[in-house]
Amino acid sequence: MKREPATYFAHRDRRKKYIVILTLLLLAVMVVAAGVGAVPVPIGEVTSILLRRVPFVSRWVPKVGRQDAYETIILQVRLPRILLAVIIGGSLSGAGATLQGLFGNPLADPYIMGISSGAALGATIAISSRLPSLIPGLSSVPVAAFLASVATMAVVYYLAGVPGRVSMDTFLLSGVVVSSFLWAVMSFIMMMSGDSLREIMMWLMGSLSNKGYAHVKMALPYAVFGMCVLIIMARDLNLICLGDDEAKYLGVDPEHAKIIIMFASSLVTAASVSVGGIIGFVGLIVPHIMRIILGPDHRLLLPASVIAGGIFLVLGDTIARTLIAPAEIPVGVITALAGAPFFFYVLRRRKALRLGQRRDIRE
Amino acid sequence: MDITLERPALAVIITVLSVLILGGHVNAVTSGQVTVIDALGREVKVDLPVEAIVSIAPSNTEILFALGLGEKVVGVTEACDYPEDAKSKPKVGQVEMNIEKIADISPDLVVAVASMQLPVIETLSNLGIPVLALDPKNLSDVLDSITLVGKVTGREEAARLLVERLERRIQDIQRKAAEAVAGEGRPRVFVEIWDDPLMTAGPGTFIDELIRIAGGENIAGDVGMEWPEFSLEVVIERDPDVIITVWREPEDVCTRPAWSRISACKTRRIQQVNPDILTRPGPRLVEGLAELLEIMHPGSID
Repeated sequence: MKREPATYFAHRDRRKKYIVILTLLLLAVMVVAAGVGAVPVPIGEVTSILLRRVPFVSRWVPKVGRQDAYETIILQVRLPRILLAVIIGGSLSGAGATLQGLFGNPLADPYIMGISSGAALGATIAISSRLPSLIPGLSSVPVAAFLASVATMAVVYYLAGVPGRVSMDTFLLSGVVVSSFLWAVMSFIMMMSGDSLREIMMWLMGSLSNKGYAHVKMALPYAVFGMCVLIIMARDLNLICLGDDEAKYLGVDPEHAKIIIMFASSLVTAASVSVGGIIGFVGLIVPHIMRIILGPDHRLLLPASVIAGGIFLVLGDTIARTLIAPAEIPVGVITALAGAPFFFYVLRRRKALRLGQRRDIRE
Repeated sequence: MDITLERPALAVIITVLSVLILGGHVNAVTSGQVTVIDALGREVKVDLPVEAIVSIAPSNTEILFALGLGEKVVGVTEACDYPEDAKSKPKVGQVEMNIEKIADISPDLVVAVASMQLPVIETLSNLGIPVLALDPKNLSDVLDSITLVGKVTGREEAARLLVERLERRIQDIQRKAAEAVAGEGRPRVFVEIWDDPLMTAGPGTFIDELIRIAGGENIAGDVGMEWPEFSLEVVIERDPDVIITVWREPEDVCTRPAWSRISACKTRRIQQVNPDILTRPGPRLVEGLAELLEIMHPGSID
């Protein structure tokens, strides 16, 4: 079947249109989130503080109000947190969309490969042994979590027999086995360390509390690199979804492509879990919603999922840090609470829509 | 020994009366049976003299040793690290207690914590082992717990002396704190329990109460939870004069960019305090109180 060039370009325009809309929406959500928080900051001061940081524009913006404390709150507390929410939400959602396509399994999420269990074990060890921080501004927990999740990745790949011929089922099984083993080790450590149970539980629920630019700098390189790889591989992923043989005829080495895709998704997952804890539902639900709205073409689905994941987590974290202020709710609790009913709503609407279409056809 | 003790009912009435009214002003009962009501409202009957006691919480172990019962303690938990002698006692559990081990010891009394150990308390009671459940929620509850433990172990005099000594110490600190507060006001205090996520101590915790008694103001005193995840921007806005850490080195607190503008960081009033003397409901809470007074109002203890 040969595609009409016109259709293809129309398609590309459609892709561009959605990405631009989503990006604008993300920027808007980020600005609003910067203005909302436990400490109320007047909107005029928020814009003034933010604009004064933009080169060239800054000289036209006057300094208003009691900016010192507000500036710290917005630039040092909220902004790094919002950036981190974008990075983590985007990574988890992008990895989820990729793995759902790769495994052809709607239940696949970024944690299916066991990476989160590695991060959880690393964090548990760091918390229960009260490991002192080695890098200024960065506690030992994310560092330990990242190292442990990368080690977990290596073990899962080794058990699944990479390099060589890869079977997706072997990969899944190896991830599940490693994951349950590590959870058991972690439960044992938790049981033995009665003193730090509460801190470990809070970390496991996923939280962006008390994060600074050090965390952003830690996660950003891996997240950006991994996501670029995923988006570049989107076309290959489309072909792999047709089947290994079909992909081969169209010039893609499926074995090779699968390993690269899996590696990139593991990397972004490891980076985000180690700084944010195990934030659930983002990597499962956002890609599904995007697939329902935009269709299965990964060239559109992946970038759209990344941006939408960012939007979703920024919103979730804003609720998490304001709802019961001055206390905070672990953001993982919010994403699960809000994500599940919203997902249900989208599923119902799609069903209603399909029924409606069928009726149209019949008429 | 005594004629009345041969009639159990009368003995029970007398001991209960002595618990309720006399508050320890009777000579130590050294044999017979004591009955008290514990923190769960259960009637606990203990045969005196008590020769073998198992403590299944670090705070209880500290109370028992403070009452001079160290030699009678025949079982503790892995977490019981104070006083030094407690570490060499046989262990009966970590977070979960080993019921078989406790049954094997077959102690005259087990001292437990009501709010955390209900299943263990029930199991041990069903095995016929007397279990005393303590559940102090504030400083004066702790003193009552000490009195109660003194009663069931026939150590009423020791308990009375200890409680009196602790009360005097508390009153002394309260007086000094009041003087300091009249002079320089209440410093705002932030207690950093953990940094990732940021956790502090809210109302209902001993930390919150001790800060208030020692003349300070807990900036998380208005949160609806005991151990909340706390908002960093609120820490910056409420601008604590003093930061108390329990695990983190004080040097690590202010290296985080957003923290450097907080008053406590500018004046370097950041202190680390051993969490055991701030959170364990035992006699050492008074040491924690004194340490907080010294941190919040330096020089007021002469």
